[in-house]
Amino acid sequence: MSVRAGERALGKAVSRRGERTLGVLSAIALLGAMVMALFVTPPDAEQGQVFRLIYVHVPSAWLAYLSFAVVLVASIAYLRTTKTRWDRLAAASAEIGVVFTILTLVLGSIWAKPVWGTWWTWDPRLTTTAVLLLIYLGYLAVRRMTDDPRRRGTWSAVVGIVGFVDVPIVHLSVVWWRSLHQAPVVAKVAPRMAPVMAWTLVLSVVAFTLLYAYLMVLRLRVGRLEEKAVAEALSPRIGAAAAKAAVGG
Amino acid sequence: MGYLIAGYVITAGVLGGYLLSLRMRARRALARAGAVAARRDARISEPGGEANGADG
Repeated sequence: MSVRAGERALGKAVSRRGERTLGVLSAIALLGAMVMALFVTPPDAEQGQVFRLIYVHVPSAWLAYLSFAVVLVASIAYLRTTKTRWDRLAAASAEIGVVFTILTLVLGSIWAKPVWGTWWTWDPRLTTTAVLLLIYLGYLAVRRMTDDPRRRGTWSAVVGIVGFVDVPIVHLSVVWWRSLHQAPVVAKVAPRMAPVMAWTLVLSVVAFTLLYAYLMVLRLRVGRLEEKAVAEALSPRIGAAAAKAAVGG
Repeated sequence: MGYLIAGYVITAGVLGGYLLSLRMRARRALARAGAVAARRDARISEPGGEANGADG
């Protein structure tokens, strides 16, 4: 997809109607996934009930990866075009990615306690995920270092591109190093799962991805409104232009 | 079972909390932009205001 086509698709996705549709769809999908996860799937033969955490832990981790992949693509697009909407997209995705990375770490810790006997261990997967969180917290901190939009966009785009290096390291850490953490789920575990468990996992991933899309649309609107408020305060003429841009996406 | 409940409650709390915070941020930004615009319009329309070229 070209940069221009991506911008057009982004503009359409940000419409209020699209926002409402996404909200309803993600709520229905999440409800269905949670019913399947808690009431339909059987408990695991070895881990029992706590295994059901897989239906929220794995989608959270997937969304952390997806969010930071979007940051990478939007950062490259921003450096190529210097258009604000790409910087806004990267910032929104980074913030949501941080939320899902925190959720992944917390859920992993809750799962680790009954299975590994500890809340936390300096295992390669856990450690690289904690580093990932620090990188993107750093990304958000860099965005607060300057008020100059061009400088902010450039600095954070560089961090967003370089920071993504940790994502494949997190994913492959369980292959490269000896780890308590199980192998990558989709490749190794899902084919051995009962079909109802595998399909519930797929549904959970789809539901969380829809939620990500909804949160992105909402977060992008917040970004536009905050920029409009600042522009209104700075100058009536800039404020009017920003208001026009906000309506047009 | 307690770990499972804790995991799902925390998931709902974190995602629901983030969603609410986004809605509140949107409402605050909208209100702030509206307040600034209203103050500006009042300044322009008052006698001797910006529209009359008093302070450019």
